[in-house]
Amino acid sequence: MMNIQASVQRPSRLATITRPRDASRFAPLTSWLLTLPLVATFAIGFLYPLAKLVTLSFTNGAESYIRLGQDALYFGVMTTTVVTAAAVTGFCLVLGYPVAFAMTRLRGKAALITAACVFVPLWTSVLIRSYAWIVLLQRKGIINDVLQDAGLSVHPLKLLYTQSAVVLAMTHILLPFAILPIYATLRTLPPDLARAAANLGAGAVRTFLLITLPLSLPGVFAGAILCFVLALGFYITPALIGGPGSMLMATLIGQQTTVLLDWPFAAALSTVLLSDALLIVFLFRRALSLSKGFHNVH
Amino acid sequence: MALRRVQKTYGAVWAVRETDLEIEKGEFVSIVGPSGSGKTTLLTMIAGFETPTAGSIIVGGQDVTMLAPNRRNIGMVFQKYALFPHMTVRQNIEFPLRMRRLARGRDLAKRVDAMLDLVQLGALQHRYPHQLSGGQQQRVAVARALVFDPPVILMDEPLGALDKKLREAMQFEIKRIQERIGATVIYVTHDQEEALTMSDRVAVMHRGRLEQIGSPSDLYANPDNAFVADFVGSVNFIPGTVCGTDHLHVAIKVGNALVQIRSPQGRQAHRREEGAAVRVAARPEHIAIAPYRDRDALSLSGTIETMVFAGASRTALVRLHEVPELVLRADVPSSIRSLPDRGANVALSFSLDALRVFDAEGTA
Repeated sequence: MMNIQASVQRPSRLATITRPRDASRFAPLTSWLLTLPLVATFAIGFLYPLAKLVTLSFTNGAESYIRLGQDALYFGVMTTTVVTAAAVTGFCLVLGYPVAFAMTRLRGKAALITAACVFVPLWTSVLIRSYAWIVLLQRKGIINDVLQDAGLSVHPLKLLYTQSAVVLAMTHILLPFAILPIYATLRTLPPDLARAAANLGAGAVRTFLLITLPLSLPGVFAGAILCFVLALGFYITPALIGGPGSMLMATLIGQQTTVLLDWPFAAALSTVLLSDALLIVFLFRRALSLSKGFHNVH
Repeated sequence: MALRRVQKTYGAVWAVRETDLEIEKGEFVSIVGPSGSGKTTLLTMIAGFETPTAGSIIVGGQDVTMLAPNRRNIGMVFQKYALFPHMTVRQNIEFPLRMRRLARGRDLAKRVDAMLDLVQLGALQHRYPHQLSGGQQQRVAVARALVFDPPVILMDEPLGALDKKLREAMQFEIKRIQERIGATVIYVTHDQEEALTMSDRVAVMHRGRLEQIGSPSDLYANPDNAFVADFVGSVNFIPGTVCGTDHLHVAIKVGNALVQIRSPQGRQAHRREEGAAVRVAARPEHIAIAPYRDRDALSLSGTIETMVFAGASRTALVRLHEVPELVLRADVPSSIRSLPDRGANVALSFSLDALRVFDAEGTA
């Protein structure tokens, strides 16, 4: 009797924020307290420097931005960056999808080995993986040796310090970021769907194209955004493997801050890169929400 | 269609032991059994998702054992429906017609419309599966399996995910559709009641073996063995020993009392040998309760432990005096007045024709 009366009583104003409304939830105040460390870190470590960066880019008025707009060089670097990121994303998806697909089908030892092949590179430093590509691609590197020994080319080919080398190495490094979201989505698809498609008369190819692929698109899109955004800001790999002709935004920003010490201009470049990334992600999401495969699943 | 000596093993584990099964055109056959009895494995082999270790599967005179599932002409309703979430109801139903290139344009629209009418989903045809209730999704799954007129339709516990009321309604719905188009249906379920109400014939599976196949009334009245008797409907087993026979009857000693049954014939003839340990099987509705003073040489006696009201009948749980560790279940019509109360001693008599006798536990 006592309990029933107590629960019928109108709670005080303080009680509404300190007591949970039902057993499965935290009270609003508790929820805020629990998120506080993250919110604080985020504010101090991310929002504040970001605001500082944008302010810095306007120290000489809009001068940095005018210079950026007038000089075709910077526009060129920006384009190269976007094209490179797009190419890397494309390769990651094309190479990553079959791996993710295989991971959902494999069992036992084969599954373990495949998972290791995906994860171990992820745990290895980007610097090491970039140097590994230098070892492979340089004039007296493994690939040139093999080509010459096989008699396929007389002189060593220029493989390193090219745009293709950058795309190759970046694809290798970003591949897990495409595989994992696709794998996560494919794994949630009930195996009965593919069986049903077969039962209704669809062969393996049509089952894949009409059922599995459309239903895995959310994972493909997640992987694409992840790869693309990471590729836009890639620094070490293009700096080591790319030649001066294939300079990317991150390298340019690095040069401005550490060599030329033109911080306001570097800040302006960063701001432009950031807004480009945001714009592209926004457009991408917008395009996807219009496409059917995205919002009708689950 | 027919299964000939079909078997399936996974490593050293038997999933389905040698099974023969013939199904007539237009027949509704259920396969029932507890989980792990091999009934779903049997179904997946017929659908072509698994190949049998040995034996062959024949559909309409053609051996399809090694045919890929998409080349077999077999419809299937999956346990969780397996509707394509990114397609509307209509697109789901169109799918098999497009894949099999059975119809296009006007003809295709007409066949889909007819099927939507049959399952009464015309108004919801442009919805996506997640916008439908469980019963509606179930009907889409049935429509999709029927639309390409397969000679055989498999159903794998299609009503398992629905609640009791809806399940009963859908049983009649499926039966109605099946009878209207004359489809051959193989229906897998673990719910024996469902199988009994819907089927022309019921096959009982147990540990990968087909124990018995027959009409529902045949299975209920003449189970081949104790497992079938127990699985189809409920049954009381009373252990006893054969102690005397004449050419028509066998007397079985239960405790200090005697129970008389009809003499078993044929394969079960060994159960009339004197001294054989047996179990007498009596269905609850074949046990009559009488006042204690009316007991005679051929009845058992016991004490009523519980009396449960269950609508049309009452269920009495009676502890036997002859075998004190045994509690029998007896169903008595609610219409009978003057039912004895809890704790009362009663006499139990059996309808002679309805009793069956099986080997004692462990020897079966």
